[in-house]
Amino acid sequence: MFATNTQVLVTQLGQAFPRLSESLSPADVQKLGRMGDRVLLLENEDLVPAGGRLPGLILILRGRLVPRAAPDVPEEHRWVLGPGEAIGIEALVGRQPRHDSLRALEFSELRVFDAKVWGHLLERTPHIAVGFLHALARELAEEVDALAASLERLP
Amino acid sequence: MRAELQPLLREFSAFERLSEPDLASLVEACRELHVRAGERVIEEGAVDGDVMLLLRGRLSVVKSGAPEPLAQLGPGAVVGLLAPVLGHPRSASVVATERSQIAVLRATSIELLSLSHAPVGLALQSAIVSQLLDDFVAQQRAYAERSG
Repeated sequence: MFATNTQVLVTQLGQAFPRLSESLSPADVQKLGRMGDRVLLLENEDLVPAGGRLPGLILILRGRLVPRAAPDVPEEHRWVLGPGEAIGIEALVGRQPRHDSLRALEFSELRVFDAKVWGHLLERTPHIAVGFLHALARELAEEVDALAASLERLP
Repeated sequence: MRAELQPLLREFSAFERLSEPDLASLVEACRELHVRAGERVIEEGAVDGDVMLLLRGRLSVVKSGAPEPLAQLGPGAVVGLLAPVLGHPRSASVVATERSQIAVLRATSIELLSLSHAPVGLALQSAIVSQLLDDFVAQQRAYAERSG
């Protein structure tokens, strides 16, 4: 028996973002897994052409990518993003994303939650939107905590 | 007194679009705290589940061994998020630097509101995510500055 394409995508989402299953029921993770646009990028391909802006929240399911800062945002340092990481969370809380694109360092797979998808989620299944934000908050809190610990270790 | 909380909470951008009944349910879940300059509102090392919404006044984040405050906070700040979200003891203390008014929410109340009132849950999670994004950017800048 073969898994359907949707089942594979849902499994990938659950594996890359294990926090989702702490905030959402398996059925809701499944619904979330069916939402968002699936985007595949080849090596050196940009998600958004120059002059554009990130369309919304991007979840990275596989691959390695580097973000490109928007011109009005100072580039602190370049870092590589991989599976289980998200960028553009600002878009979900009514802010402008700090980055305007992502460039794939290798073949990469993303899930894009743009304003239309997020609006749909808010309208139809607000409890999934709450759980999704809750999971993202937990991920962010862990990153802030890890950064604070790194700062303390600096001489 | 509690009716006074409503317009103050409305000033948080995450709560500005909440309906009156939803905002009232948020107020209902909050405990109000008034502190004077020098009073400690969060104790380093303590284990508690309080998240604080700073309505008026100023707070300072201090850590034992650190020569200077880690941060100064003004109205609109969501204070003390990391410990309740991660289930860790408090990593720093928070002290009022002037008379301050704070709305305190238990992490369990946030969970309950998120389950029972989706609009309030969304607003609360948005406020939490917004504050964590600010914290993340501040930490990232500090790291970049200090590591050269």
